[in-house]
Amino acid sequence: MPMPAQVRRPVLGTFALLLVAGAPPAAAQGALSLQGFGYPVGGQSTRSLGVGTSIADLDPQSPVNPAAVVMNARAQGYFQYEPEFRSVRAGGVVADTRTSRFPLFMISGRQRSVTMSLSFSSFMDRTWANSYADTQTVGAERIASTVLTQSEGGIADARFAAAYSLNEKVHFGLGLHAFPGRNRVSFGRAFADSAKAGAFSLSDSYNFSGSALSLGALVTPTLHLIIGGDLRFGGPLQMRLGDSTMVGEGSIPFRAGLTATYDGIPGSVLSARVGVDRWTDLAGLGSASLGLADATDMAVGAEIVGPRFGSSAVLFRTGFRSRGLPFSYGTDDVREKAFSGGIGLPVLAGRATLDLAVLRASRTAGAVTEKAWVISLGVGIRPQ
Amino acid sequence: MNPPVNTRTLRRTVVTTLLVAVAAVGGACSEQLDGGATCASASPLCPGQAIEIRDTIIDPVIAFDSTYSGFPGLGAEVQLSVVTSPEFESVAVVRFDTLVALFIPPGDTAQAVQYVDSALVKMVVNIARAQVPDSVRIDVFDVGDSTVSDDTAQAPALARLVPRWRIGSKVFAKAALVDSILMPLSDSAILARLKDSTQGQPRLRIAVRAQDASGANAPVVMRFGSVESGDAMQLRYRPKNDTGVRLIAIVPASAGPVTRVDIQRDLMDYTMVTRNTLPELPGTITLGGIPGRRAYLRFDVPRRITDSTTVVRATLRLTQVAYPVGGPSDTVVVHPHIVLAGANVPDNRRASTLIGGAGFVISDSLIVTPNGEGQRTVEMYALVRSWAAQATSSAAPPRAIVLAVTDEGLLPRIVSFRGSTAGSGLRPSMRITYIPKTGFGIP
Repeated sequence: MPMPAQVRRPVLGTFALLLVAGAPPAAAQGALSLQGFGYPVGGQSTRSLGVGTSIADLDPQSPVNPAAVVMNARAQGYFQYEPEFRSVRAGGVVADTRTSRFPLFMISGRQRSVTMSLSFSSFMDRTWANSYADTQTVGAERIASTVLTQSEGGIADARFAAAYSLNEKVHFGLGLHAFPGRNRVSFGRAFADSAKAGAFSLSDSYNFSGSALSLGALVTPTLHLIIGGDLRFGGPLQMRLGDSTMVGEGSIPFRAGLTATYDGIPGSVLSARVGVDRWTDLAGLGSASLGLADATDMAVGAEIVGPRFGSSAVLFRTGFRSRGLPFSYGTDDVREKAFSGGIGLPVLAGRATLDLAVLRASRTAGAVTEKAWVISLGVGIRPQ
Repeated sequence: MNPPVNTRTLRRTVVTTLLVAVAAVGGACSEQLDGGATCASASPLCPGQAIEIRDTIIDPVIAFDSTYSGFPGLGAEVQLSVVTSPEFESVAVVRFDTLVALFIPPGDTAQAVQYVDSALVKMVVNIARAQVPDSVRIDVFDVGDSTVSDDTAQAPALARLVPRWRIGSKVFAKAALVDSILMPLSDSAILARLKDSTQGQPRLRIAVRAQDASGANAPVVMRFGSVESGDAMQLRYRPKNDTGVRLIAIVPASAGPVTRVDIQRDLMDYTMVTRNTLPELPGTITLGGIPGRRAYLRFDVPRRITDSTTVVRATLRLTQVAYPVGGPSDTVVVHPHIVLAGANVPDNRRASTLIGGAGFVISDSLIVTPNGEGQRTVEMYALVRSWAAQATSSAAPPRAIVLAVTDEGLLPRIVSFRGSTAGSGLRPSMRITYIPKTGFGIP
């Protein structure tokens, strides 16, 4: 089922429309974060991003821990917009890019003690464009040319999650994941008229299909302490040229995460998370030379209740995250660190929430540095 | 218990924050994805962007070649070429088959012409790319033989290119050959034609020849305007010995052949070759000359290349053979034309007239001189690419081109290339640079 990595059109479609349209977004290879199959966007809500993703396993809007959906309202819809302003410095050259993402859509509902959600999020974003001057050997001569290369699309994570509340303190969840995706890659060169060589543009379209199963739990062992954990067991992930020719096959990476929050200090929630992603499970999906590295993902954050705004309180958030990215730069692993902050604002008498997060991310590998401002805007709606 | 807060200050803070967010989000609505500035060649930041380009030579590449003569057709010349050289001579023939034998003097009634004065032919001269010695003698002959019924036969006209039938002759300095010239004719000869009613309407058919007036027999190559170019020769004469009577101006017209009205217009004026001893080079592709020659080349390029790859270059390589006539300044421009005739036109000569314009699909051309020799190349990747696009079409035109020179049929310059019967290394071949059909973009 071909699905672009990101939905770039205005958001206000129906969820059915989103099911056939959504997936990862944009950027440009020529960046550390976009090596390999692209940037692992990760399915984090704006609220989670605001606290450095330290509440990911307890956040009902983040499709990470299926048990966390029990914390949703009876019925809720959520979507998110997330532009990124990136600056890559390599060899004294700086490239600034700007990309837009709609990385997450979710609806959820509750029936008695079972809560279900359907979400569509970006798993990998491989959208970029490059144009630069280069020489090309044609016949026996080297001639000047301009390279025009572009990649669009990625892999999405469509999840159906159901959570069951054993009692007020123990909840379990099960998630069924499908990973559809499409990646259209084009490569071309343009030559000067005097070169007497034909400009060309080649394009290939790759389709992805994969599956996974996730399990999660949410436990309140003591007053003020909540612990959530998730496990994702990856099924096969296939990459085909067009609809038929198999290009490669790997597995959806195994993932494990554990989040703990403490709200014993009045007006605040402190959280921390540690996770691992076994990105090497992707081996076989791409070429043999694709550099893969398993990664840890650590985050800490705090959410503080601020002054009241109308009948509800404004929430202020801050956090820090450090993780490894899956695809290496040459032989160097790429690490990402991000400081974040944000606010949560209830509106429409509590029937909607408006979350805003700002991230300052830094990615480094070798002599290349990449810095990005990410602005995340999430809107949650509760019909009743 | 939340601390009390100034609601106004809070609203202002939140609204300001949201406005900043909206501005930032709005600024990202237009993406700027191009990060190519950091993509130095072979940079690890931009891997997988090298494409394998292969190179091969198809030899032989021509399945069939043939040279056809007679372009443009007789009477279709946009200019009339008058050439005199040791090996070649051509004259311009103009028919005035509607001479006016009546005139109306001022204040009088129509009268038959009994007197002719100031007879002349006005000729528009084109000496661009011409060879003109310091002085040129232009002769005009009366080539209309009223005893011959075959209007298309050239022999009777050739037989009259002798002094007996010369009705005008004048030496022009080279500097005088600008724009147009007035060539005086014999008044008595014109009057005689006006009174000759053996063919009904009085008619005059002339041939114009140009020769070196210095006696050195230097080659002369010049052109005159024709009906096709809108500046045809014009016959003028005064029908009375009175300058108050206006000149009668006659434009070309052909009354014959009576049974072929379709070609009467072509025969109003045309170029007629009167002598041709230019050598033929067997086994060659020959282009140019008067009348013009062009070559039809049909290619045999493996479909595994044309249909399954992306062609970056397709260079047709021709080996030029030095033609024994022509100097280093006799530049000839050769254009390859795509053949538009489909399978329904099996006649290759006819197919070689159904072609695209110069520069259409194939923008490259050759600039050569007749005495040049060696390898010449023509780039035609766009055509080879179009073959792939037409591969599945049942009405695809043949994989062929026509080579023709500019000013075809107007200049006596001839260029030759080795044909498909020549040995390897001399016959036409094609160097193709292409990208194989392979998957790419896999991380």
